[in-house]
Amino acid sequence: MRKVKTLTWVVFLVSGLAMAAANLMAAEYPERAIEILVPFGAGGGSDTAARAVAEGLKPQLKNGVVVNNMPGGGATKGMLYVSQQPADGYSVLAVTTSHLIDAVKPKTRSQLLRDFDPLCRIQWDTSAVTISGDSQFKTLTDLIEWGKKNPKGLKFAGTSPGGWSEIQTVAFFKKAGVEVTFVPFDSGAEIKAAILGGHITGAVEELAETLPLIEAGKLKSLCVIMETRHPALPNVPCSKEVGIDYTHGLMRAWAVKKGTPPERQKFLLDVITKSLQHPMYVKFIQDEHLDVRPGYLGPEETRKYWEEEVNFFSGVLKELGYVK
Amino acid sequence: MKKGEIIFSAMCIAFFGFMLFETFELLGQGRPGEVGSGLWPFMALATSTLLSVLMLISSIRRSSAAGPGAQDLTAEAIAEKRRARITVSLSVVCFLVYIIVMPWFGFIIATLLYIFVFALILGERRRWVLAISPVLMTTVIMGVFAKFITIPFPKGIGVFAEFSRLFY
Amino acid sequence: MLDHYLQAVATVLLPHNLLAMVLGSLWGLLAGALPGISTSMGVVLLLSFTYSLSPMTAFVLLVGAYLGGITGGSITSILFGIPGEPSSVPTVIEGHALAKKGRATFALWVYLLCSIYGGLFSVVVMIVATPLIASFALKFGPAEYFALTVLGLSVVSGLSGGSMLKGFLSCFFGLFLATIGTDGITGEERYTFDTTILLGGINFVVAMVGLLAVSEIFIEAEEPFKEYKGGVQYRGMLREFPPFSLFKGYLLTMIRSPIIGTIVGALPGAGATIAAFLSYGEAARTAKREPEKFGKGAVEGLMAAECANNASTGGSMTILLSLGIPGSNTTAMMIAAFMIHGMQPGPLLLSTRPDIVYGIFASMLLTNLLLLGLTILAIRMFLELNRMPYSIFSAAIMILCAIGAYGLTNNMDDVYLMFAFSLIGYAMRKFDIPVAPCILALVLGDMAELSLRRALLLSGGSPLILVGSPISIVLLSGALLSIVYPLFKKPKMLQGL
Repeated sequence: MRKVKTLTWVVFLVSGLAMAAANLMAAEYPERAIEILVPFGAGGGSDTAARAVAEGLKPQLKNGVVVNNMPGGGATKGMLYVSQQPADGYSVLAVTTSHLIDAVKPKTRSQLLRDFDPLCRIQWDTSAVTISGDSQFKTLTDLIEWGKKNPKGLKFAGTSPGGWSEIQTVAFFKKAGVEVTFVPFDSGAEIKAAILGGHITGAVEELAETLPLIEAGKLKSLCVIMETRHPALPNVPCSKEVGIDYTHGLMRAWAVKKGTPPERQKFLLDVITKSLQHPMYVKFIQDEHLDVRPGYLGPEETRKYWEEEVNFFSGVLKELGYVK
Repeated sequence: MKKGEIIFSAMCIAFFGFMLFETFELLGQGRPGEVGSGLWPFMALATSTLLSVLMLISSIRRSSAAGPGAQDLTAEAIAEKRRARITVSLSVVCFLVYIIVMPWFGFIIATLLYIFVFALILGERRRWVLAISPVLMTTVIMGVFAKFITIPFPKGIGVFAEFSRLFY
Repeated sequence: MLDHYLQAVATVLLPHNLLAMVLGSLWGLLAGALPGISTSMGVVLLLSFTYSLSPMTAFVLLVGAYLGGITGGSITSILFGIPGEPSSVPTVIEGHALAKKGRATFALWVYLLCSIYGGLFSVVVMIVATPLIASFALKFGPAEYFALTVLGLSVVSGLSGGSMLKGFLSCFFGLFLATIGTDGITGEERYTFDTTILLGGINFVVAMVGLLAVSEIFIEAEEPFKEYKGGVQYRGMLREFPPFSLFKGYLLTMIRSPIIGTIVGALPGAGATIAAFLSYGEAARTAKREPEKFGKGAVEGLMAAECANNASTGGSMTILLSLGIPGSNTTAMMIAAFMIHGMQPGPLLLSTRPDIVYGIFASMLLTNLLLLGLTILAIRMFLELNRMPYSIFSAAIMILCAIGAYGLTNNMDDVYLMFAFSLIGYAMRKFDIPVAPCILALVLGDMAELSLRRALLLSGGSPLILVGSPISIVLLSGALLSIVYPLFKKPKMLQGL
């Protein structure tokens, strides 16, 4: 038992020393690595985006930056984790549209608008209506006409029931006056295989993922959901052109816990803004076609944008019956 | 053992029955056309409950068939059984304490203590093993998992967090 | 065509590529063997190194890590009963049982030879029949997925050991566990009791580590104190080399398993784990010799699982290279590697970058051969661990299990869940309830339920869609047969009821 005692003493001594040292250094923020928490798994869209920005942050922060993933519970676990950390500017949450949708739902455990301060929006992605390359539908008008004659006859796949994927599918077709059946799948890979195999009509998904299959003619895009035509698909009409007033897209932003000192928020905003100009990040968003719509918004604009989106989502979710 | 099995079956019935009760509010939920959120778990739980009841019946029947008289164990065997039971309970408790204190003490300290205590529980008395192994093992694990592949282990709170930050 | 391959092989054999292959495979073996790191995580960790490499070297490295990871997962499974990878759970069940009987090195040889054979088989199929596999995989819609999972679940009676009653109880418990968390069709929370801990559902790795590995340590704690591990007795590796006749005796399994592996590997959302389980189940269903051995150290089960999980690599890569669709988590990470080097995996890749496509084929072929030697090295290294003091060894395994659960989402919740499962596993072993059916149901249950409901959504509620295609009909009648057949064949198994 004596050993345990000695060990405990050593531990306390060392940690005491460490604290003293830390106090002595009580240097400028950031005195240690800043953690960027991605509430999704490694390798996904949010993760690669966060890591690309982090590459540009590394040279600016001498104590470094770590990107950690905490997937689970539809991005809520990671958000909850950050909201439980001290508001000291060492934990930054990678926010996506799914957090905004979550803010509408009654069962939220941590609410984005209530518990977080936005730093900036970094990306604004573009979705497209994608169907099989050998489908009978040649244009969006064909599809819509058929869909009007056969309510619920069009089967559209997506990934998150009650989430972004379902909202954009249903809301887009609602604006076009068509009622479709939404079929949830587990991943984008399964959806692509199901479209190619002719098991479902199509999907409303982010464009960059399906682009290689579209270029090969295996899939085709009928409409890109944005204000102008997409440079990668100049022959495909945009939603505004075909008279559908719907241009929402998936956004990615960064936020810190509410109550983080303003000068630290300012510091983080500055380094992030700088790293968005890093050549590597610029190349990344060009390759991924994320530069088609300007993504950057400052803190105030981001908050305003979030509030508008939350309003829109709460309307759609009420119609779908997810929110009473 | 027979008594244990009866209790176990009863616990199964209670668990599955409770979950089955919880399922009723799910039964109406679903999209048009499909079977809904509740049907599949309802099926699994109803069958499980039924099977647990059958298990209870068969263990009661077997225990009454065997009757008493299974207790002719030697004193030695009883002592051995008790020792085994204590060791198992202690190792369960020890692991539970380990994972509970980890977020407070941080990964390093919790792991050091855990290796030491768990080895003691298992009956380790060689001094050199008890002295060297926890430190060595923790160092290796830290090197591989925290440093090399950068798993963000819990750092603990307060003083312990400061301590952890010295290492990862 | 042939000169493409020769050129690719020549490129892969360049010294720097060869070095990348060795390093990648070694890293993969290690990542696979340690329960804390999955194969896909091993590949992700290498991604950041590939920025500075030439594309070909990068892919040689990543392919090495991928194949090494799938292979390495079974070393710790056999020796210590801890699954290094989810895909090696059947190997834990059969291989570790063999090891406990003192035949660890024999089990390791069988695993190694079958792994390499399965891997090579799938690469050859991939080279010969890429378009065929791709178009066959695309025929699988929700209804076919459902039929496939029903077939997989129908072997449960073969895995039940003595009592059908307890086997089915275990299976239905697993099916229930699979429904916990957010429902994939409606988004409804099921059995979460308003906590976040169960919101994402029960990760299969958490359940399996708890049920199998941690409970194993608790069981071992009952035994009197030993100075050294020594729990796994084994003989020298040379003396245990299995004779060729052993494999010839299980010809059907040896042919069928890699085919199952390749096809299931090509199905998005399925992957190595489901491939291993389906193939293992098939072996259990049709076992002519000693079917009662399943769950207690059946060589045939070990063969089936190991052939299939390694064969899934070829299937996954096929669908990735021909369509740009990842067939598994790990190949999803490969997409990131393509993007880093400015390529888009898809149907056009073969014409735009044939060097890369053929290079990947060649490196998969050569990596499999290389792994034969490297895995023996790794096995020798892990055998040495048996010399550790027993108490410290047990502690280390517990910690590795905790890290494995923690590392999934970097959250303590999964560690607590794993602890709960270790208690459940302990109780199940004490009361002779087989663990295998529960894990099988947990792996397949989610896919079975969701694909059934997806199929019904597509048909607008008509159940006819479930028997709407030849594939579904074949799979479902196979399932029906294997449920009904034992009832007539072995009526005495029902007497336990």
